[in-house]
Amino acid sequence: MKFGVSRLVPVIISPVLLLADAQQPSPAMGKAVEEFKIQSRALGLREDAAGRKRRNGSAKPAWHGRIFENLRNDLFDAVPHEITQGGGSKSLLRRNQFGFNVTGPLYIPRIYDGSRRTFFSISYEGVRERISRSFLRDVPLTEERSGDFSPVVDQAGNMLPVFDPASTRLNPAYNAAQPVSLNNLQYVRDPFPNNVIPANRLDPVAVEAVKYYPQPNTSIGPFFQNNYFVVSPEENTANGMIFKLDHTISDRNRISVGTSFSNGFAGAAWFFPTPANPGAADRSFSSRRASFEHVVTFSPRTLNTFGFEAASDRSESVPEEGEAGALKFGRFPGDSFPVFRLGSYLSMGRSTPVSSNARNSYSVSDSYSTRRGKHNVLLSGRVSRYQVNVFSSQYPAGALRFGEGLTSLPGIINTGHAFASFMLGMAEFAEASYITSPSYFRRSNVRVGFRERYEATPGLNFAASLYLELSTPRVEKYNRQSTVDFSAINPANGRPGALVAAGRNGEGEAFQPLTARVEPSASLSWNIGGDSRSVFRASFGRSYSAIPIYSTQFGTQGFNGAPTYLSPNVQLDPALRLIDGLPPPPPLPDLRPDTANDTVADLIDRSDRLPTYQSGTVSFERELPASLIVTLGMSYSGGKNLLVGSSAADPNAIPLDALRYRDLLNDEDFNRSLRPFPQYKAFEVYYAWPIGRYEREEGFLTVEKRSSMGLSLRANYGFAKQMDNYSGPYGIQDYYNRDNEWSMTAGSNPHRFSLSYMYELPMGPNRPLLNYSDWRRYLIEGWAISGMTSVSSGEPLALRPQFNNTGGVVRSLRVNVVPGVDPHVSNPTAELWFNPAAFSHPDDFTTGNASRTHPTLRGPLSQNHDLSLTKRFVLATDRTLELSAVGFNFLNHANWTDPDTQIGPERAPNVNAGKIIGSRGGRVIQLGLRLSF
Amino acid sequence: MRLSAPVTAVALGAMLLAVAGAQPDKARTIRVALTTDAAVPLSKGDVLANVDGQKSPVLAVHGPKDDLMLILVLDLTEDISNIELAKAALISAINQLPANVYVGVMRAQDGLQVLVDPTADREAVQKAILSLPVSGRAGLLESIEPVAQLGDRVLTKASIRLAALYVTDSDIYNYREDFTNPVVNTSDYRDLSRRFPEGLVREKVAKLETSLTSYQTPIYIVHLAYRTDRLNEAYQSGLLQLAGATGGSAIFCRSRPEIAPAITSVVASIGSQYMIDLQLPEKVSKNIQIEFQSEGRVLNYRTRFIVRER
Repeated sequence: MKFGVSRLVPVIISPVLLLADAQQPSPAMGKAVEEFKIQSRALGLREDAAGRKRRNGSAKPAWHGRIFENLRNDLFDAVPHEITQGGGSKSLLRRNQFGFNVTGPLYIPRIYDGSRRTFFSISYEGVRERISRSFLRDVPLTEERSGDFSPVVDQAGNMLPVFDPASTRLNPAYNAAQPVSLNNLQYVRDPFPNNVIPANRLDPVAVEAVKYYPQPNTSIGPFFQNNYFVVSPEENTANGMIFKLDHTISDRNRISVGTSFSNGFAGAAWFFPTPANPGAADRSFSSRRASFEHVVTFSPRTLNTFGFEAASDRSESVPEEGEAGALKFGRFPGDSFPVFRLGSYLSMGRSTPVSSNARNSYSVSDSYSTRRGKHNVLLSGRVSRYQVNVFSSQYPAGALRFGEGLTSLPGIINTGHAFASFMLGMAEFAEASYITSPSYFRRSNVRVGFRERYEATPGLNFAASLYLELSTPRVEKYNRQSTVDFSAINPANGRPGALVAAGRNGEGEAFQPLTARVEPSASLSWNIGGDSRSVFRASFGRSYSAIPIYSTQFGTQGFNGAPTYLSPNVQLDPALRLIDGLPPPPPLPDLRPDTANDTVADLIDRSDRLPTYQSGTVSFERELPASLIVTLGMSYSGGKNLLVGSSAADPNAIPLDALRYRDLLNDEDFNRSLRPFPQYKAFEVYYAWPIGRYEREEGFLTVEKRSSMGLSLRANYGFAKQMDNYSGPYGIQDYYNRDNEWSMTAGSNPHRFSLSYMYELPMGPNRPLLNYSDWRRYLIEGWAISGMTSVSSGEPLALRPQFNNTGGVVRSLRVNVVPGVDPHVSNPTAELWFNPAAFSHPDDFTTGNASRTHPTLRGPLSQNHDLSLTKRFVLATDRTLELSAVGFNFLNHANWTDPDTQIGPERAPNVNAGKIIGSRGGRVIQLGLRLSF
Repeated sequence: MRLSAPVTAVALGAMLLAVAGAQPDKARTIRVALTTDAAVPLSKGDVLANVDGQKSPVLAVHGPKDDLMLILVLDLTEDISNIELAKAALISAINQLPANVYVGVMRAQDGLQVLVDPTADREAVQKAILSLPVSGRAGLLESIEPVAQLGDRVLTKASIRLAALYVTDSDIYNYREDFTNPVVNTSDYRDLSRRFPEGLVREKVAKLETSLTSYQTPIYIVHLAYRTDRLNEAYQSGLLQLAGATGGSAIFCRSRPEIAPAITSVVASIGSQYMIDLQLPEKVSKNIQIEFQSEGRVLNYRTRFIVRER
C-alpha cells in the first residue's frame, strides 16, 4: 500500500526520465562523476568500508569547542539608583564565569574510532561571585531601645502615645450600647509618663535581644521611617558539568545519553551581621541529571522514540558560626535566634534556619509517530514519579508576634506600639516548630494520548489532540502525614473537624483521590484563498495541573509539633511573656483527633478538584514586502480551581456580618465561638487550596522582520485585561463572597511592548559598507549588535488602610472610596502619583468598599534596555576569538518603585500616601572573551 | 629514423610545454557562479571581468544548456509532513530538469554521506529521496564545508556547471554540537550570559563563512520550517550569510504551501545558473574582489574569494 508522495510519483515520472536513462554522459560529465566518486571516498563520505576508513590512520578527530570567561566588576557599572538614594556610593560586584566545551566524534586511539557513529559533548562552567544587596528598612530609634517612646510619631507626625498594660481597668462609665470610642472607652489605661517605659518594666530578654539589633544609620523618612540602609555582600559559587553522548547504532537506530551535575553555594546577604539577622540562611545546592533516548526509524514515515530521565535537586541550609544559643530565651534555649515580629520594624531572627530538601523525578516516555496519507499521528505516553524528601523546621526556637494592641488604649486605633509591647516582653501570638523526622513525599503521574494533524488541502490544516492524565495524590513513604478532616468529629467539642493520619483508623495512604482528566486541544491554520502570504490560525486547549508537592512538611501535624500560643485578648493579655519563654514541647508523635486543636492547623483539600485552564487564540498573519511579517491576534484564557494560599483561602473565616459584635470580637473565646470550626484558630492551606479563578483577554500585534541583510527584529505589543479573585500582596477581604473579590490581577501589566533585534553590521569584505579586503578588514568585519527592550505599564495598585480594627475577623481590609473625588492626578510625579483624598480609612469594625486592586490606578511604567556588542576575530578557518560587551539596562534607566498605598485614618493621615520614595536599577556591564576552535 | 627518435621526443616535449604554457594555470583560475535576468544567453565576449581592479580574461562561460551537476543534500530531521511535501516537490522539480543535469543525493543528518552518485537516472534519485528516513541530528553546519570541498574538487577536474542544494528543516536545538548553551549551574540565578544566546551560532557561522569564501561551489539552501525563537532566528540569518558567501541563496518556508514553490524556484534558478571560468592576474591578494560587467544585463554573483594554493 502506498501513501502520500509515492502515490504521486508514477504520474510525475515523465518521458524525460526514460530519455535520461538512455542518454550517455558527456566526457566532461563522465569525468566529473568519476571525480565525485573518488573525492567522496577520499573525504570519507561513502558508506562502503573504504569510505569509512580514517585516512592514513592519523587524521585528527574533528573536535570543536570553546573556552570562555565572562567578567563583571562594579568598576564598569553605574551605582544602582537605590544605593545612591540610600546614601551609598558603591555596590560591590565581582563576578567571574568561566568554562569550556568540547564536542566531536569519540576517538580513543587504538581502542575506538567513533568518527561517524559516536559523538560526545562535554561542558564545564564555574562561577565565583560576590555581589552586594541593598535593603532600606525601619528599625527602632536608639531611645526606644531603652523604653523612651517620646520621639515616636504616627504616620501624620503626631506623637504616638504608649499605654501601660498594667494599668488596664474597666471603665465604669462604659455604655455597651454604644461603640467603643475615645468618649466611650470599655477599658481605660494610663499612658506611660512622658511616653517612657520605666527601666524596671523592660523585659530582660528584650533588653538582651536589642543588643543584636542595628542602630538607625539614615533618615530618608518620612519622619523616622526608612532609617536603616544596608548594603551587604552575597556570595555565589558554582561548578557544573554536562556530558552528552550520541551514538548511531545503524541507519534506523540511534541512542543519546546525557548526564550532568552541578554543585553550588549561595551565601545569603544579611540585614545585619549578628545572630539576630532575619535574612535567609546560606545554602548549598547540588543537582544531578541523567537521560537516555532511543530513536528507531521503522520507515521513512514512521519512527518511535523511547526516553528515560532522572533528575535530583538538593538544597541544604548551612549553619553559621556563632549563631547557636546567642539568646537565652527562658526554658527554651534553642539552637538559633527566635523570630521576633515587630510590626513595621525589621524583624529579628531567621525563619527556617535549618532545612534540607531533595526533589527527585523519574520518567519513562515513548512516542510513536507516523504519516498515513494526509494524516500525521503521534501516539505518546509518559509515566513519571516524583519524590520530595524534606526536613524543614520553620521556627525551631519559636516565632513571636508583637502588636500594638497591648500598649494601646484598648479599642482605639493609632495608639500603642508593637516595639513597646516587645520591650515589655508581651507577645500577642507565638508558635514553634518541633520536627522529629524528615518527610518523604511521593506522587506519580501517567499521561497517554494522541495528536492528529490532518491536511485537508495544502493550505488548510487541522490538528487535534486528546490526552488522558492520571495523577496519584501525595503519599508519605512511612504514612507520616495528617490533615484536618471535616467529616470527623472532634472529641473536644463534638463538632466536625478532627485530625486524621494517613494509614490509620480506616484512612488510606493519601487524603485525595486518584484523578483522571481528559485534555483536548484543537487548532487550524488556513492560507486564505490559497495565498501562502496570508495565514489565519485558531486554537483552543483545555488542561489540568496536578497538586504539586512543595518543599515543606505541610500536612504532618501530630508527627511533628506546631503548637500555637494565643492571646485571650490581643488588647488586654499577652499570649506569652518573653521572660517565661516557650512552654516545653509536646510529646510526639501525638495523633489524637484533638491534637491540632487551638492551633493554626494544616488542612489538605480532600476533593478531586484540580487547577483547570483553558485558552483560545485567533490570529491573522500577513507577509509584506521587505521581509516583514505582521500578525494581529487576540486570545482568551481562563482558569478555575487555581491553588491559592492562606491569605486568599480561609475555610475557618468568620462571616463578615459578625462585625456587628465589634470589640467583643477581640475576646478570643467569643471570637472562637463564631468560627465554623471553633476548635482551630485558623487553617494553613499552604498554596494548595483549589479555589482561585482568573480570566485574561488580550489583543496583540507582532511585527517581525525576517533575517535579511544581517538584520532581524521582532516587535510585539500586547494589550491585556486580566482579572481574578485571589491575587495580591495582602489577601482577600471576604472569603464567603468571592465574586466581591473579582478585580484586576495584581502584577498584571495591561500594556506591554517588547523589541528584540540582531544585526550583523554590513561592513567588511563582501558587504555593502567599508568593503576592505586588506588588513583593515580585521578591524572592520565581524561586528554584531543585539538588543532587547521591554516597556510595560504599571501594575494595578492595591490600596490598604493603615489599621485593621476588626477583631481578627477580616484578614485583609480594604479602603473606602470617597464619592466624587478623582483618584487620578493630572500629572503624576514622584511627589504625588495618585490622589489619596479619593480614599478613606474604614471605620472600626467595618469593611472597605474599594476593590481589592484598583481598576484604573497603576504603578509607574517600567522599562529596560539591554544591548550586546560583539566583535569576532577569525584567527584561522577553525579558530575565532570573540570579544563581547553586554550592557544590561545600558541606558542606566531608573524605574520608580510603586507609590505608598497605605491610607491612614482621618485624624492621622499617612503623609506619605501617594508618594514614591525611590527608584531602582543601574547599568551593569559584562565583558566576555571566548576562544572557539 | 632511429636518429629522429630523440628529436621527436624533444619536439613532443616542446609541444607539450607549449600546450601547457597555452593552458591556463589551474591554480590561477577560478569558477564563479552567476545569474542574470537577461533572456539572451551570455557568451564569453559579453562579459568583462575585473579582479582586484585589474582586467582579467574570461576563459569560458558555461550556460544553462551546458552540463550541470547538482549535489542534492538532504538534512531532514523534524516534521514528517513538511518533509513529505518537500520530497514530492523535489522529485517533481528534478524530473523537469534536462537530461544533461546529473543529480547526486547526499544526506547530512547524522553525518554527511553519499546516497546516490550523480546520475541522470531520475528513478534512482527518486528512490534515494523517498527512502531517506526522517530522524537523527541536524547536520547542515557540520557538512556544508565538506560539500563545498567536494564540489570544488570536482570542478577542478571537469569543465561543467555545479551547484549544491540543501533541503533542510534543521532546528538549531537538534545539533550534536551544542549551540544552545544550556544552563549548567541551576543555582546561579544571576547568570546573564545567556541573555543573548545567539553568540555561539553567530560564531560558528562566522568561521564557516570565512572558510567557505575559499571555495567556488555555490550552495543553495531551502529551509522548510522558519522558526521565530531567538536562537533559530540567528541560525537562519546565518544560513543566509553562508549561502550568500558561496554565491548561492537561501530561502525559508514559513508555511506548508510555500514549500513546493520554494523548491521549484530554487531548482529552476540552479538550472539557469552560469559558471564563468576566470583567469586571475599574476599578482593578486589572497582575498580577491571580483567585478563582472555585461552591457544591458544585471548580473548577480559573489564578489569575494579567498585564493588558495592547490
